[in-house]
Amino acid sequence: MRKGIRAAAMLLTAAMLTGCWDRTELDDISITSAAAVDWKDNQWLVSYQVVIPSAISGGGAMGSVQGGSSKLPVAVYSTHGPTIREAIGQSVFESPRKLFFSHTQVFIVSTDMLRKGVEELIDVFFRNPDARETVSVLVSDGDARDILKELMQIQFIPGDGIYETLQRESRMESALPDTSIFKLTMQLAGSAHNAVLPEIALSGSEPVTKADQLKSTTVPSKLRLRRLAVLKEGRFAGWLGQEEALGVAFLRDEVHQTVLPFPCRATDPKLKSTIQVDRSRTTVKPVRTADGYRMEVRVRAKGTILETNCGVDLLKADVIHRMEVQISKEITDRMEQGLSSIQALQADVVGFADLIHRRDPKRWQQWEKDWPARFAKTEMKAEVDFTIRREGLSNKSMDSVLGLKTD
Amino acid sequence: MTAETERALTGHLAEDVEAVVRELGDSCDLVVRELTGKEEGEPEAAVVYMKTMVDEETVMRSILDPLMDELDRLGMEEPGDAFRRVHKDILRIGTVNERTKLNEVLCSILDGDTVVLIAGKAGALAASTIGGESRAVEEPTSQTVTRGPKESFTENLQTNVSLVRRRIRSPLLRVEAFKLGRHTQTNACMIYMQNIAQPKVVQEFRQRLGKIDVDSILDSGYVEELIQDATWTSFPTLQNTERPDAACGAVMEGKVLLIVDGTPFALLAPVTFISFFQSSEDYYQRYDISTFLRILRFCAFFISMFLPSLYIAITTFHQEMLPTPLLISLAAQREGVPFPAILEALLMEITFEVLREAGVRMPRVIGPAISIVGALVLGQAAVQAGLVSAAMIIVVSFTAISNFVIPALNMAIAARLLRFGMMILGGTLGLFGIMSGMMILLIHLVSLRSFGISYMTPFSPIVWPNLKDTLVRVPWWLMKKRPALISNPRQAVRNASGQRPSPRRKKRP
Amino acid sequence: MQVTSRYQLAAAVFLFQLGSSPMFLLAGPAGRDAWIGVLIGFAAGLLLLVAVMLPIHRIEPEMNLIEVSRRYFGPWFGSLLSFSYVLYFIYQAVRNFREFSDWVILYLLPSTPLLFILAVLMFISSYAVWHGVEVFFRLTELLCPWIVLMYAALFASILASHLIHPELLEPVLEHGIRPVVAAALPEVISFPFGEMVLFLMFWKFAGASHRVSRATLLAYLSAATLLFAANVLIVSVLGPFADVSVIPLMQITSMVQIGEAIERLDPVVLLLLFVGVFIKQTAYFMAAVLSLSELLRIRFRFAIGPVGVMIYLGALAFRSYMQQVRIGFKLNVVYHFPIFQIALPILILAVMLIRSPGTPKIRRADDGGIR
Repeated sequence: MRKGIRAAAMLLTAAMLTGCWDRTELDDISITSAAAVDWKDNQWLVSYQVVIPSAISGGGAMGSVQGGSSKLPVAVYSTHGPTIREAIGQSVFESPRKLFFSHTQVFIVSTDMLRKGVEELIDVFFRNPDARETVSVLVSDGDARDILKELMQIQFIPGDGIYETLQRESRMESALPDTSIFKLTMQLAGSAHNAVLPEIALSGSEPVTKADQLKSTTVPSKLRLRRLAVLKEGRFAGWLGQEEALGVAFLRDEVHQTVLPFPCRATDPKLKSTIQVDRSRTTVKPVRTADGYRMEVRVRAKGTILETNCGVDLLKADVIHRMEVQISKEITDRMEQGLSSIQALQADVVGFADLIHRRDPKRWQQWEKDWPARFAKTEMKAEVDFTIRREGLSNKSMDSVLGLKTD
Repeated sequence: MTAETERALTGHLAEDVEAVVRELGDSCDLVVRELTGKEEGEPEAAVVYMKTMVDEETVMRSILDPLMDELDRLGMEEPGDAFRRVHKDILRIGTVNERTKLNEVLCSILDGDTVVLIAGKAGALAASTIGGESRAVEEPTSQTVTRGPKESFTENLQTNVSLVRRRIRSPLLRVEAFKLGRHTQTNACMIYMQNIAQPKVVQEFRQRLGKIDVDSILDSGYVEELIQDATWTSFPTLQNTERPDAACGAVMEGKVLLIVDGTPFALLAPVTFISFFQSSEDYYQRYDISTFLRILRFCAFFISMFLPSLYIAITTFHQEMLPTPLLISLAAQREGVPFPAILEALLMEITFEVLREAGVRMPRVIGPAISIVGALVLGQAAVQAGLVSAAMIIVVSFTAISNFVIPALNMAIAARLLRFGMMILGGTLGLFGIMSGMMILLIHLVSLRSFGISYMTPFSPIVWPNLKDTLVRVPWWLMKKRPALISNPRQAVRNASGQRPSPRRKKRP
Repeated sequence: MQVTSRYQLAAAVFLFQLGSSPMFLLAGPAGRDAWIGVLIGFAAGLLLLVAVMLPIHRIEPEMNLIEVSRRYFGPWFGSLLSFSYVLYFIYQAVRNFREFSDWVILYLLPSTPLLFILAVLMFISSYAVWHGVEVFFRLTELLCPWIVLMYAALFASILASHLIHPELLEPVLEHGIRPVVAAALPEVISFPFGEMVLFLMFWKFAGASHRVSRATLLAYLSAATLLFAANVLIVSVLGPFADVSVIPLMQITSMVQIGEAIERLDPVVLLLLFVGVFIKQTAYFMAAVLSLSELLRIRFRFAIGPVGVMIYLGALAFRSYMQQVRIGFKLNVVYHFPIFQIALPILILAVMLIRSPGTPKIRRADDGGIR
């Protein structure tokens, strides 16, 4: 028996020395930092932004050969096919290395593709182990491929740059949520089957695709996060502007931090101050009415004053109270604005459907079919409870100190 | 020894002396001093010893002097009475034994005894006069500490036993002598505490030592290979130490110590896996740093066994597990490296092992110079020439350094060897291979035993009290009991209660 | 004949019950009410354990399943019964081997041949079985704390990365209790709670029977708690997708991100999976070898070869992963496993109670003496 086991061990070792079926050396893979999917001429067009490591990390095995700005950090190319995986499969005809998607940070889809639907895409992500569900998805109004081609100035790898920008935005401003494939899927799997995605767009004239163009302090065009795309049952339905998007974010309870201008007095809407919302929590409670539900939205938020031109003494309780009322009103306006624009699209992206489903499963079964229409008519009663917690480092507004204005 | 030597002494002085000289091959260092009284004639007595084994000063002062003074009177007595008087009265030596057989006499002579033969008496007296050159007690060379005793065992058995005796002045300390090796006749002492050691273990140890029948025992390593529990393993099942304090500590925990003449490395059994990660200094420094260091050593052990294989597995199979910037940086480094990662790693590991072995063999004077050339120049040049990636050099060197953290060299060697197996597994099957290897290793470890004690005690089987002195070392006053399973269960308590120091003063009666 | 301590028995029961189960959504058809299904399955399993399996052991604490069936059913029918259990153990081992190899291929080594991965697994398991029951139980004891620690760390990091949405568990029992019960019985008994029948082969190694019961029950409860927690976790993170993913917990783990530092914890899950399935497959392998050697009265180690070959070939016999899952989770757990886990143990207990009503008391007295 002992001999048998030893023989088996030797056989195994021998087999191991010969067979390494899945071994892939680091210089056999192309690290894809971003990918894009377009739907063109009834075919999938998949584009890849591939990192060129030696250009980014100077040195390496070659020692003296330095990378730097003379070399481009990424290469972009595209393949097409009747299915997404087939299109990716086509890449072996032109790529010397195996495409490697585990480190893809952003995934850009065109509105054309969204009009067709996202089911195929989601299936590809959930079926293949090398595609991670944490990839952030962004929408491009034009060709998604063009976004990949744009170079960036500060962040060397554009895909990484887009990702960092999106992260920062969704943390500091909260209007456009960072949405991973997983989050997108969960939204679409919700009771209303709707979702939102941030938009990425080229702002400027001529695209920056050459290294030479980067040798300047300003570049002719930049990548910029713009609007919020609304998906209705997995298909593109329309856009929301940033202000409406922030209102929707409040309704979705996705505001981590945001900066909000507000008028000092209701009577004088031009005089503005700015508040930074540090923390916000939204609770929505459906209340039964005669023919449906009224949504009672309650926002509790806290913030810090960043800027004020109101000429006030901030240590006075009534001044602060007045400001808080103004801020609350501002937030309420934003939410109402946001809600009315999604009601116009008949797309419930704020999860009212889930609330009703949870509260009253039986009624939900009756309502499920005509929910979009019902949603468009749903009333909302908003109540914002805002607390200014700090006023920054100065107690008074500078106008009053400089004697320009007095309150 | 031949059958010839089995016979008894004849009592005829010349004949016996001749037999001894013949059996020892007329060695040039054999001294035979025949003593004749005032009257000429047959010698009355003979003194036989090996001048290379004895302290001649002692022989002269304590044996020859008194014997010569009394020789005339002895000649007149009956041989039996004379023999008895020499034994009881004349020889000024502590240990004097009677010998009746020729081979016993030979053994005594070879052990450094001085043998006195009296004419007409079929017997001999062996007086212990062992001496000769031996190294002084010095600082330990391989198991050094910053705080703690600086003594180390030497090659001399007597000295070593005395180093232990002086630390444990207990009447219950047992020292049993053994002679090992058919030709070398090496002396060995088995030392244990009568009340603390497990009688079963002591008995087992005795039995295994008794079974040894080989030509030579030149180091405790020979004994270790002959009495260990498992041969087909790279894990040691006996511990060795050159520190008397560590040896005594182990004896006080109920372990059995074996000191072999001619080597400063004493053996300890039974041992557990964890004891190879404990340094005697752990008990001398504060408990908190000891605990930290023990955990650190354990991590170092894992690093030295698994780091290269993990590096290979992750960079060639599971690149998705690396953070993106690291992956890009590694990929840039590998650009242009001609070998697959597994080969690259094996190459560098073997290079390092060569350097290490060379460092041991090289003359002291040029050693450091060569190792700098080897380590720095070779590594730097290999990276610049694009033969290996810089990351691989970092991995290999960190692995090597980690290996030196393990206090017990024999356990470090286990990690060093198994590393190569793990690298092959990691290079062929990735993480799955490493996990498989680890599982085999664990099964192997739990199947090992050392003198009846499971190797993985106290983790498996779990022995709660023993956990106080494993990865953590609790303060002394908390370790009230001796380690279970290793020490005798009937004598479990070692520290009295209430040893915790505190400012509260008890009322004195 | 005691070769294992109660810690070891508890560790073995715990790890065996866990196996790979925390990775999956048990009672999947119940959707978001799966956790209720787990509770039902757990309760039924507990009843089975306390009322059927442990009493069998208590009546004959010195005998394993094979010896019991020989003694109470006579040589002919007893051997037949024993043989059916040998086949059951082998088949369970086959399922675990095959399932695990398929996951390894899915997640780690997509182009490595199944033959080879199976061979590696078979080698490790045989190595463990070859060392015998004692070493295996000691191994579980060594692994147990680490596994618990790793699960704790994993759950903590999932909690810390804001993935959990408890509202996904609502509405509770949207379609009433009926579909939940249907999903739980007998599926959740068959896998994993009823699998305790295996320990009828091992209990006799663990000494006095009251201790055996205590250790077993404690371990069973802890394992069930962990399973329950995992199930709630899976549903409250993945919601409707809990039933879609092949390994839901792996899916969740791949989304864990705490700060910039802690992410990509997949290897932890892989390790947990590896250890869990390894323990399970080896336990079944060991039981098969034990029972076969007992049945044919041959030396324990001689039986490893034939059983190993049977398992290896059996694992290769499934055409595809889907076929294996379909046969296992649609047919076996509903129709076949309950025979071995519920029907036959009840039959055995019944016969034991009827045929020799006097013996148990005497034996218990002996038992007391040993204590």
